[in-house]
Amino acid sequence: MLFMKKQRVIMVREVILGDNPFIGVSHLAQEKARDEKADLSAMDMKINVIKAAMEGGATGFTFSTHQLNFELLQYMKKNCIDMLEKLNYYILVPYAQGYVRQANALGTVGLTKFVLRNIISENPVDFLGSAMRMSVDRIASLFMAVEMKPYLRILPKERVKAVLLHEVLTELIMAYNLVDLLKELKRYAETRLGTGFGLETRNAGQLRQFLDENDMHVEHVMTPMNPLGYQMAPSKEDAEKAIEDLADRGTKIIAINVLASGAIPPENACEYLRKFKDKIYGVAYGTSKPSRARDNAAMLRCYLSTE
Amino acid sequence: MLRAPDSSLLKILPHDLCPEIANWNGYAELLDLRVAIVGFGKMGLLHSGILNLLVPRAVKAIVDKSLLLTFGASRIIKTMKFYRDIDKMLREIEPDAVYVTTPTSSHYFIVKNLLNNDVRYVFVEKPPTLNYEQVYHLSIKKDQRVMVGFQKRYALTFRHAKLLIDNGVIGEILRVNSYIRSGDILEPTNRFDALGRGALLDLGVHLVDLLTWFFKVKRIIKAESKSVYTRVDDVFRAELEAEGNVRISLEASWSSSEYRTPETYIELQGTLGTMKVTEDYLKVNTKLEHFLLGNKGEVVLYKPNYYQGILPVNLADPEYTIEDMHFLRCIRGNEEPLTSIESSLDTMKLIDALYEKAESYNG
Repeated sequence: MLFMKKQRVIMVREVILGDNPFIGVSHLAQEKARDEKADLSAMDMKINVIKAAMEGGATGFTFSTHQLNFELLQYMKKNCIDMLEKLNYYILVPYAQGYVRQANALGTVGLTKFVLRNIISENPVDFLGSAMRMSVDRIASLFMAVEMKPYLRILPKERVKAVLLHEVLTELIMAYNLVDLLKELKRYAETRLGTGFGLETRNAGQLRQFLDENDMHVEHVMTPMNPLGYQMAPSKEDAEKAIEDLADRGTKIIAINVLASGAIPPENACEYLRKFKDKIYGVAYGTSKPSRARDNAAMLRCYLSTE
Repeated sequence: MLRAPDSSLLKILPHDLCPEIANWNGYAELLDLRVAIVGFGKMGLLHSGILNLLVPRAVKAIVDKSLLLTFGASRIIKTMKFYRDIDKMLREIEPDAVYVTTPTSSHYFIVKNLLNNDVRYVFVEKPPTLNYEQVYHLSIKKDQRVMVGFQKRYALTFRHAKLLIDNGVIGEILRVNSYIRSGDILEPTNRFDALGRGALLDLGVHLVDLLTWFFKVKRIIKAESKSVYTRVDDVFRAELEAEGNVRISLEASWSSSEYRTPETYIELQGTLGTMKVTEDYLKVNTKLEHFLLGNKGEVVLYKPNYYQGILPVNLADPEYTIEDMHFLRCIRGNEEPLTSIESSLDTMKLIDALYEKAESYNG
């Protein structure tokens, strides 16, 4: 009993390492992203960051379906299976910038044909059935499956906690009111892929309204939370309210961009997040430095738990 | 860690740099707006997405000549009508505003058609046309407004830089080094053969537009282009001279593999200090402690310092949202846009001159 009283009750369930520095993404400046990517060009450097994060208390890894992440996870499976098996995974689909680049080279129609060819080669029977029913929603699910397939072969199934739609898709789903598509993607993830389903968004206020209006619930919502309100819309206050409302309805909130892309110190981020610690399920952060990976995970654990 | 700007600087940022957000909630009268998008590529998707998030269901119609795209999209998007013919769309939808987001070669003909059909508000993606002559020959009626998608002018970093230059914060400008680079074209492609122009027109036009916004360019000293993956310019370099004997070097490249997304960089040396500006940051070091720098001489500001929960919508880079808000504001007040088609004349004239100069240089 005494032990129970002294034991820390972790309010935030997951501290999650993010992949942005691993694939050359920084929401602060491209210059920084290029430096970080260069720092992490060797596989060992990435492994050191993940290892340090785990030592600091990180329990998850969130990543986009980028080729570099695929190579990293393959490497981990071969060389550090213990680490691979201990982490929980939150997979963002797709790596949007990759498709933007392809659209620049191929044109939008060329890109569409390229994607369809990939789906057909991976799922010919399902594609045929979907095409005959003219179900574009279903074809979109097959696209998600094609993106996920290589990763599901590598990762322990029970550790893949959720597939989350990249924010660009989430925002477009809201903009075009694509409820049926969203329902189909959710159904496919939960029943066919056997994972949780979630949405990444930078428009938390609009998302809450969209889900309300369509009487929908998603298991996870991944969204920026920082004291500057950077990437929080329609306003910082509205986004905070929406996050609280979603959490109260059982949605697992994963806070991202908690350091406002590096514009604020970790202590300030933690102080801010502490106000929401009973609403937040997970907190994600990214770094290219092992020491920061360890320290930031430990700090988040410390601030976001109660005695 | 970033240097935190002091409170006096925060007073001018971001509202003074971004008048588009003022009274945004008062834009309710735009709820009946009817917008059509011509061209359902990535820019068409982006603008229609932002518009619909800003003003729910504002986009009523999409026009694209691709059967694959219009048929596929019409199966999942039920809130808009899809067309393959612009005239049919104009007859049936009668839009207040039309966005033109098709490939560059078609811009002139589509915009001309829209203006002839009395569409009052037209937004055309950059570059507005293939060359200066086409922009010049667009006849716009008095009550019509045409805005060009030079979205860099809507990035708050560049707006702040313009304000600092105009107020002489780094003194008289002596020298400018600039580039815009992306890794968009890294494999051989013949997509641009018919257009006959490459990185300078497609990507470099942003940089040229910023430079003509900041300075009055007087002459081209040197210009050269290089093909790497295409039969057009993949890399374009030039030296310019602007009013006040300002020397400007510029480079436009869409074949820089290390650039995940496009980056525009302008470095200015003045008699009192230096300034570096990109979409991501503004770094100033000057002998003058100016109120526009929060009464400091040295300031480093990044995107999170500028965009602190001020945008009602986040989709892609913030400048796109501000650009669309600007267009909506112009519609509401029937105002001339910052990047009106008329204001693009200098930019397009310089683009033509650069190609001519490079042609003579390359032989």
